[in-house]
Amino acid sequence: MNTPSPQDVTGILKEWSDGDKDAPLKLMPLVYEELRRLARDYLRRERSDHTLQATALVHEAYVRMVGAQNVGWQNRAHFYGVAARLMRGILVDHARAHAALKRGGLAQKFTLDEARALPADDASDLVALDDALKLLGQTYPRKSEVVELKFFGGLEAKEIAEVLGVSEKTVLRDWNFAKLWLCRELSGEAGVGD
Amino acid sequence: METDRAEQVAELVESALERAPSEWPQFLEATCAGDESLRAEVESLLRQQGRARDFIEAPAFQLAAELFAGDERELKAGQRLDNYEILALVGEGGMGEVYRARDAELGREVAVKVVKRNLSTSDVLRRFRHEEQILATLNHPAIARLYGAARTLEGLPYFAMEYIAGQPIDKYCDAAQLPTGARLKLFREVCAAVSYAHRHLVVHRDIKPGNILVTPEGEPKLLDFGIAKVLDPEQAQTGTQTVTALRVMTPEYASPEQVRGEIVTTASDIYSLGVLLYELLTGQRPYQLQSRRPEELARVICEQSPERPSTAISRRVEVPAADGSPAKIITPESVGHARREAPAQLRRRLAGDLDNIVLLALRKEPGRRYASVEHFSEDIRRYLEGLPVSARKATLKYRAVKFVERHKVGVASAALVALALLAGITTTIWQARVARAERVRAERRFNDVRKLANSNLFELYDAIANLPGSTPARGLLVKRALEYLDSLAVESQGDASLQRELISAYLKVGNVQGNPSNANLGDTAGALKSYHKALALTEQLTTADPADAKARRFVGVINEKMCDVQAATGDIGGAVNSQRKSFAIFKSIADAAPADTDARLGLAISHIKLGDVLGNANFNNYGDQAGALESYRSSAGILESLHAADPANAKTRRLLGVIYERIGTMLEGVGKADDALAAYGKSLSIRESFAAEHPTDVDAIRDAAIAHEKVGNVLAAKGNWKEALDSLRKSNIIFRRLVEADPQNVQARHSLALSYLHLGELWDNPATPHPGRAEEARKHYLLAREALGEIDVAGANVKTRETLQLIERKLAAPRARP
Repeated sequence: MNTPSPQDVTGILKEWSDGDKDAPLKLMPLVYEELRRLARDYLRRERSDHTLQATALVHEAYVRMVGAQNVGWQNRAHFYGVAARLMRGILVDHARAHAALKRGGLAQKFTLDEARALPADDASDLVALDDALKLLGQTYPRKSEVVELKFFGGLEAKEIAEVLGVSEKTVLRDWNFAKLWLCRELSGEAGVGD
Repeated sequence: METDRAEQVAELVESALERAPSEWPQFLEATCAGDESLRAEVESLLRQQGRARDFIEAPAFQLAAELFAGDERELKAGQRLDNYEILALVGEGGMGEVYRARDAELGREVAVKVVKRNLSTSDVLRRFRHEEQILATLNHPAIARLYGAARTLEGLPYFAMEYIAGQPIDKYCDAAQLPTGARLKLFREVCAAVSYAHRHLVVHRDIKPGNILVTPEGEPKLLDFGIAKVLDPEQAQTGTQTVTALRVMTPEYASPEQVRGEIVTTASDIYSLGVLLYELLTGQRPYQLQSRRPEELARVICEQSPERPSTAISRRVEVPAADGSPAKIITPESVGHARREAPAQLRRRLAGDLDNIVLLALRKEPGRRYASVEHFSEDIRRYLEGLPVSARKATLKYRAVKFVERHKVGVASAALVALALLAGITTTIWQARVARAERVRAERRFNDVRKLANSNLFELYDAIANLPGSTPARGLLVKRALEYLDSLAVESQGDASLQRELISAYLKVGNVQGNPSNANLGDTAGALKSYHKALALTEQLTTADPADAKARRFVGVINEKMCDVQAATGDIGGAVNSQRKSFAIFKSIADAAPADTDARLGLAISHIKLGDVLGNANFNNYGDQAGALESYRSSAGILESLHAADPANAKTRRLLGVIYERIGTMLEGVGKADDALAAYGKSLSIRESFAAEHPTDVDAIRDAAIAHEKVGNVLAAKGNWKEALDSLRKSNIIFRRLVEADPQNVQARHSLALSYLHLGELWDNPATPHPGRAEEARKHYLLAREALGEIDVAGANVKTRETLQLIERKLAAPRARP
C-alpha cells in the first residue's frame, strides 16, 4: 500500500462525519500501518513506559496522517477512536508477548513461575483487562466500547458520545457500570446470572 | 444471559448508582420485586463500588488528550503578571509557554515561562520547579539568568528569566563570517558556561546551536537548562506540542550513550560540544543521518566513525530544510567563504590538531573522551597559542577496543549496549550521591534507574542469555546491576515504592545469578545473597507498615526462590525450611480471605512447590514421598474446588494438568502403576481439552504432548507396548508439529529429540515383540539425533548436551537381534 496522504485520511474522516458507515473500516488499515511503523520504531525502544509511548505514537500518527489542518474535533475523536482500538491491540499484544517471553523453562518440567505472578505485574493486568473487556463486549457491546475509547483512547465523555451517537449521560452511565462489571470480573467473583 | 435480562441488570445498577448507597436496599426491594437472582446479580456489581472508584480512571492516553485539549494560551499580550507586562508569545516548550515581557519596575525585558494549565499535573509541576531550582543555582554570564518565580492569579507557577535577543551560534558565526580562530574563542566561552554547570552538577543534555544564542554584542548565552533536564525521553512526550519535539534528544547532537540508553553524564555534554565544534569548523555535521529511525540512528552514531573535519570540508552536501524551503547546499567554497579562507587553506588549518581535538570529543566511549569540558577547552587554548595539544590520533590500542572491533570477537552487541548503559548509570549514581544537596535531581535519577531495574536490564539479560559466548558479559551485567542496586538500597530508606522496586530487582538478579528454574550463571551463593538483600528490604517495609500485604507476598515469593536455589545446591534441609516459611505465608494470606480466589490459587501453587522439594524425584528432594503426595493432594483439592466454581478459568485448568501429572509421578515412583496411569490420564484429558480449545497456545499444546508421553511411559513399563507405542506416537506427532511451526526453537527441538529417544527406547526394549525391533530402535535414535542436529551444540545448555550424549551412547550400544 502506498503511504496515504493527509487528504486520504482527512477525506475518510469527513465521510465518516457525513455518515459513511464503512469509514472506520477504510481508516483502520491506514492508521494501523502508520501506528505499526511508528510502534516498531519507538515502542521497542522503551518498553517500560507503554502509556507515554502510546500517547506519543497516536499523537504523531495523527499529525502525520491528518496534518496540521484543522479538521474539527469530531474528526479527531473519530481518529482517536480508531487509534484507541489499534493501540489497545498493540499494547495488549505486547503485554501478552512479554508475558509469554517471561515463561520458558525446560520442556519436560513445568515451572510454576508462570502461575505465580509477582505483586504488581502490570503486563498481566493489561492482558486481564483486555480479556475482561472482551467478555463485557459480548453482553454489553457499547459499554465495552466506551471503556476502550476512554481508557485506551483517552477520549472525553462528550467525544465518546459523539463517536457512538449517544448522549453524554449515557456514556457516563455506561462507564460507571462497566467499571463495576470489570472489577467484578477481574476480582474473580462470578456473576449470578451468567 | 438474555439480552433483556442484561439490560435490566444494567438499568438497575445505573439507577442505583444515582442514589445514595443507603437507599439501595429499599430501591432493590421495590424494583427487583422478589426476583432474587436478579437482585443478587445487581448487588454483586454494586459491591464493587469501593474497588471501582479509581479503577482505570487514569486513561492510557490521558496525556495525549491533555495535549490536544491544551491549545489555549495561558497569558495574553498586554496582560499584567505581578511586575511583568506580557508582550508576546515567543515559544512553546514541553510543559509551558514562554512570553516576552517587560519588567515594569526595572524597565528591562524578561522572558516569562508559565506552566500550561492542562499540563499542571503534579508531575509537570514538580519538574517545572526543578527547572526553576536549577536555574536559581546557576549564576554565570553565559547562562540565561533566573530573575524570580511566583504564581499566576490562577495558581499556575511561572518564572521570569533573562530575555536573550540573539541568534543561534551557527547562524551568528556564518552571518558575521567569523574566521576559525574567532569561532574557537567563542566556542571556549560556551565551554566555560557548560563547565560551570557541570561544576554545579547540572548536565545540560541538549547542547545544540538552537540552545546557544549569541547576543548582538557577541556574547553566547546557554539556554534551556531545565528543559534539558526535564525533557528526557520518558517525560518528553508528556508535554510537547510538536512532532519534532517528540524526538527530544536532537539526534544530530546525541551521543552514542544517549542514543542507546538515554542516561547521560557530563561526558555526553562533551560529545555534544564536539558535534557543535565540528559544525562551527566545517559547516557540516559529523554524520549524514538519512533517517530518524532509532535503529538507523543508533547504528550510525554508535558505529560509524566521523570523517575528519579537514576531509569533511571537501564534501558537497545538500541539507534538506525542515520547513519545506529549498535545500541548503554546502560546498567547500561556501564553507571557506563563511570563514574568510580559501578551501585549501582551511583544510590545512583543520588537519592535524583540530581534527584530533574534535575527534577526541566525539569518541564513542564516554570514558575515552576529554575527561572534562575544561580539558577540552584547554586543548583549544593550547592550539590557539601554538602549543602541543593533548589530543592525538587514535592509537592502535584504542582502535582495538572500538565497538566495531568487539563485534568481531563475537560478543553480543546487546551486551555492549547493556554495559554502556550500566556504565552510564554507575556514574549517574555517583553523581547523585555527590549531589545530596540537590536531592531533587537525585530523585529524578532514581526514577531512571527504577525504570531500568524493572525492564531494560533484565530484558537485555534475556536477550543475550542464549547467545553463545555471552557468559562473561552476563556476569559483568549482573555484577554492575548489583553495584547499582546496592547503592540505591542505601538511599531507599523511607521510600516504600522504591524499596518494592528494589525487592523485585534483587529477586530478578538472584534468579539470573543462580536459580535453576531459568537461564542462570550458576552462582548459587550470589543468588542467595541477593535474595537475602530482598528479604532485608521486606523487613524494612513490614517494620514501617506491619499490614503491608505486598511485602508479605514478597516474603513468600523470596523464600520460594531461595528454596529453588538451596535445593539445587543440595541443601535440602534449608530448601524445605524456606519452602515451609513461604507456604506459611501463602496459607495465612489464603486463610485471611477465604473468598479470595487468587489467594487460594497461590496456596495451591505453594502446596505444589512444597511437594516438589519434599519428595518429587524430578527435583532435588528431601525423600519424603508420603509428604509430597499429601501436599499434592491438598493442592488438587483446592484446585478442584476452584475449578468447580469457575470451570472456564484457564489458570486453574493448567494447574490441574500439572498437579495430576505430579501425583502420577509420585505414584509411579512407588510402583503403583495403575494409580499412576489414572492420574496421568486425568492430566491428559484436562490438557487435551484445554489444548483443543487453545489451538494457538504453544504451551498448552506442549503440555498435552508431555501428558501423552507420561501415559506412554507407564504403559511401556507395564509391558503394554502397543498402547505405549500409540501414546508415544501421539506425543511425537505433536512435538513434530511444534518444531515445524517454529524450527528455530531450540527447546521444541530438544523435546522432539526426547520424544524420539523414548520411542527408540520402547523399540529397544527386549520385551518388545516385533521382528524389526532393532532397526526401528536405531531409526528412532537417528531421528532423535537429527532433531538436535541443527542446534548449535557448543552453545546449547547442559540438558541438550546430555540428551545428545545419551543418544550417541544408545546408537553405539550393541543391539541384540530378536
